Amino acid sequence: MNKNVTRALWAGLLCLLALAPFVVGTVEISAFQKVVYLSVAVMSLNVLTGFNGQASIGHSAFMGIAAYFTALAVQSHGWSYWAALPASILVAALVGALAGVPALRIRGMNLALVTLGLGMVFPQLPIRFTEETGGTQGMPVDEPLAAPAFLNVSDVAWRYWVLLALAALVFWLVRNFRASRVGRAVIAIRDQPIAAHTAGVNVAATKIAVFAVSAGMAGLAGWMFTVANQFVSPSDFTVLVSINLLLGMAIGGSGTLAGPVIGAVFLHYIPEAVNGTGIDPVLTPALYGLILILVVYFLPGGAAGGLAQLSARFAASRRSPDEPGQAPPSTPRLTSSTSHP
Amino acid sequence: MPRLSVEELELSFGGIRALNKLSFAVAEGELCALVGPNGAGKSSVFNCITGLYRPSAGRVVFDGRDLLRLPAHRVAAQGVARTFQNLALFPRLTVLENVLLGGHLNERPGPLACALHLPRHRRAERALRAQADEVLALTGLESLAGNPASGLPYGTLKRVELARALMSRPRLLLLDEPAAGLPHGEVGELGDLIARIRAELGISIVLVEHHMGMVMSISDKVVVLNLGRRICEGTPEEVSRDPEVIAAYLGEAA
Repeated sequence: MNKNVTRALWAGLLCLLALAPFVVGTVEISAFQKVVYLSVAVMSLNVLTGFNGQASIGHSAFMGIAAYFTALAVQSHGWSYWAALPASILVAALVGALAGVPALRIRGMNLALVTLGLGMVFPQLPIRFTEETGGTQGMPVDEPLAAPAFLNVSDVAWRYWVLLALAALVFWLVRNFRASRVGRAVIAIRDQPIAAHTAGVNVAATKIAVFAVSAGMAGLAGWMFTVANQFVSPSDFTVLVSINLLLGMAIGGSGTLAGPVIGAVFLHYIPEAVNGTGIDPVLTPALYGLILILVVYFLPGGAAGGLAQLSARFAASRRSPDEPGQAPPSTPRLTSSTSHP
Repeated sequence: MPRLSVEELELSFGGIRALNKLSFAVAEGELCALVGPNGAGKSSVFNCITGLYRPSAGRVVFDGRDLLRLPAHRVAAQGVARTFQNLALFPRLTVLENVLLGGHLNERPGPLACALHLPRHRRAERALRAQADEVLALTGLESLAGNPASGLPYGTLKRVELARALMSRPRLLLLDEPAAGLPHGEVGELGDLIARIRAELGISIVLVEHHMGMVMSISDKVVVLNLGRRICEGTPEEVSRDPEVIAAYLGEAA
């Protein structure tokens, strides 16, 4: 797609979303908040898995660490949300860097299992410290992230704008990074670690750094979670959440910028739509599974990859109306070892 | 003093001796071919030089520095670049991006400058683009710069790898079977390209190749390996007359 068109689309989307509180009601805005923090969470996984090729089923833990950190700091220690923001990201990033160390020696399925361990252990922690965290009952946070008085806007709208602005910042940073020397090195490690080595990329240091950055981004999503919900409980950060993030990434399109947004919309609205049709909500996972199989089979690049292909076809057919659109390039394998999760 | 000197290299995999006290030297600007039957240890030499394998004994001295003391990612910074026998490209990146990655160490804006799109990063990208355009022109890939690497013909991908290696402005270029799998007509072109790179850039090249026509026409020196040891070294003419080479590699004379 043309660079300017893409840029205009992103700007338009951002404007529309920013104006939403003037148009729709509180219920919708709450839903939008959830989509925003889910986008950041899916993007955090996308940076690690989609761009760098390291698998993780532990991202719910990084989210949970930051969400609980924020809740405890604000509720029990009188911090402001703003003070908790950098601190919670940092804590999640540090844990992520530690989790990245075993990733140097193991990869693929085994790495997924190690992170799975992290994801399974985390929900037990609040239960272990029930006195401080409320255990399985969860923990409400009384103080909201209030709008500054001079703005004269509702707290809900203010929180939504804060979340939206931070998410936009994250996506802008990822976009810059994708088109830079460091981003190319990160992708090179995913595709051909040995060739990356010989080109002078410090593979080990880069992988740990990406793990830390990804965990920090998941931490930001966790902070957003606490801001949006003013409530945290162990059931909000189970392994199932990690798996949903993976699902969102795969369906939206891994290794793309738009994919996480599409994935987050999917993760929030599909269960709602299922409820709306009167199908037993118990069947939602089955529906997820079916959609995932269809996407992997027919749209290996996810929804974002499919859209890019469509627009390329459209552009090609406009250039030469007689010729059929340029077929997506068949892909002879360049390497024997490349596979994208 | 030679630019590269490989000294008494020993490497074993289990009970198999891949390299057995192997020594050879490459002078500045020299094109040295390593030939020998499959399993002679040619690619193993490359993997030792670039730090992917750790030999049990010996030295690899490049411009007076022992490369074996460096981790693999630091070897590139010394001015060593290579291509791979089986392509090792980044399929989802474009040809241009593949080549740009070869210049990873040419310009070094940090992660923060990159993520924040600071002027330092933009300047670096412009400089890299200019360098990449030169390399793409030299290898005849200008028109393909925006194409994804996946889906291009094999011969073209070999040139993309060559371009990526050249992008790092190496002083020593290691080419691992660049002509393997090319249609006959393209082998001659590739030979010309390699000869031109050597002439224009004045770099030392080590060439591992089975295609004897190409080896004989462009090499200054040929080192013949068999079972991990050097059995002969000399000009292409000398080597092709050596009885031991004929026995081991070219087959008994009829």
